Amino acid sequence: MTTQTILVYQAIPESYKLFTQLVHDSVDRCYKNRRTKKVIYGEVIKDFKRLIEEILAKDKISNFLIKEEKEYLNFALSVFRKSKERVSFEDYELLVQYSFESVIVRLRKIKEELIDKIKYNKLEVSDIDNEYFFALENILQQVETLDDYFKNKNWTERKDKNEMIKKALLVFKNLNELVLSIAFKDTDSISYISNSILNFDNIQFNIKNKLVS
Amino acid sequence: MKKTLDTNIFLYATVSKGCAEEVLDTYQYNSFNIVLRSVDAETRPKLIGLFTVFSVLRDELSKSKKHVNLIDSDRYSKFREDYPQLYKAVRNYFFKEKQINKLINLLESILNDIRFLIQIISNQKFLYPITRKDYKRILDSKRFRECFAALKEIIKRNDKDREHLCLCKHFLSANLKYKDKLVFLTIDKEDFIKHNNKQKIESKIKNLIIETLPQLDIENILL
Repeated sequence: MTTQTILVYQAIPESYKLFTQLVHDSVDRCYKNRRTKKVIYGEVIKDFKRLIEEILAKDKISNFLIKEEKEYLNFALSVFRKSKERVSFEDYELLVQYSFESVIVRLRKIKEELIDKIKYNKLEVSDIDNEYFFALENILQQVETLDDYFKNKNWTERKDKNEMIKKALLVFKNLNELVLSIAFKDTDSISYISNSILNFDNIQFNIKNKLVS
Repeated sequence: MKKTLDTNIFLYATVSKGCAEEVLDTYQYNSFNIVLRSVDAETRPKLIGLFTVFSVLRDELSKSKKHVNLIDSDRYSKFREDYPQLYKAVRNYFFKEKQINKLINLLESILNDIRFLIQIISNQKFLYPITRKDYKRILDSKRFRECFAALKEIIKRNDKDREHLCLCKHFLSANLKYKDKLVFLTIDKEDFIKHNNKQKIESKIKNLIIETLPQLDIENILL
């Protein structure tokens, strides 16, 4: 293991971890009431509103958010403002969609910046950066695979829709964990995250065709 | 150049018979010698490091037309120093192949193979997935025998690259998704002979066989 600077942390703004935490908590920790078809957040909605306002205030000073993140925050704020403890499932779906988009764009940005830094360092990078780079490449490839998969499915078919939501949430979970790991400088988790991305059962890479080149 | 089991990453292949023929072709014409060694978890950081190198190279290739100049640039000096044979092999291929798309496809294939190898070595369940009964069925299968024969042929005809002693390590995934694949294990012959590592390497191989392929007869593999 080298003692070099970890480049991936330079590709992410310090305040970004607040955003990541919000995305993680607002999407992952929800419970859907089958009868009312609403997603129950409970008292935590107040915290989310406060957190969003805090993030937006910080952004006014340091301007660290990208366009998609602002869109997500504005939408989330409008949803949480009109709800006390529960959110309609349609709003929740949109919330996931917005957050998914914002996380992907951010990861692409991190990857681009990381590539530039790796080039600048003449490919002399730490094992940790290599691990992050590997995870970033794979998760982004997985997103593309998912995108292709969606194109061949029909959102109006209930079976297809359920399957797509399930896959999207699984990919999202990996995406989010990766961003959280970068934002919170949790280096211990990265190889675990890489492995779970690679071992993602529902979306296998098309290894067979690509291997025999 | 120092050659030991740990520093000398040469040969990787997850191979079907068709791919085995391609590897043979590689050795005969010495044109596409992209080879890595796959062993165990200790290889992971090296594979991931190589993944970064090949990804950056792919990224740059898509933006540049002077691909030989690109790989000759100072940026790849560490790659050249750390993996001289791999570097040479890539450079030779770049020199011969003028079409950027083909070079990008090649790098994509390598990246996918590295992904696959990391998946294997990072997951014990994936590495040793099946029962002895399954092994026997596979060992007795026509496909397996053909693959093995093809690999032995490669080793036998491997006159141009005497540095390698190849041993095949076979495995199959839990659901036999990759039942036509084999993994090469390469050991540096010089190291094997000159540095009195024979015993160590043999024990490593034997352990490997006990864990993965009880019936593989290493004595019959030609040195």
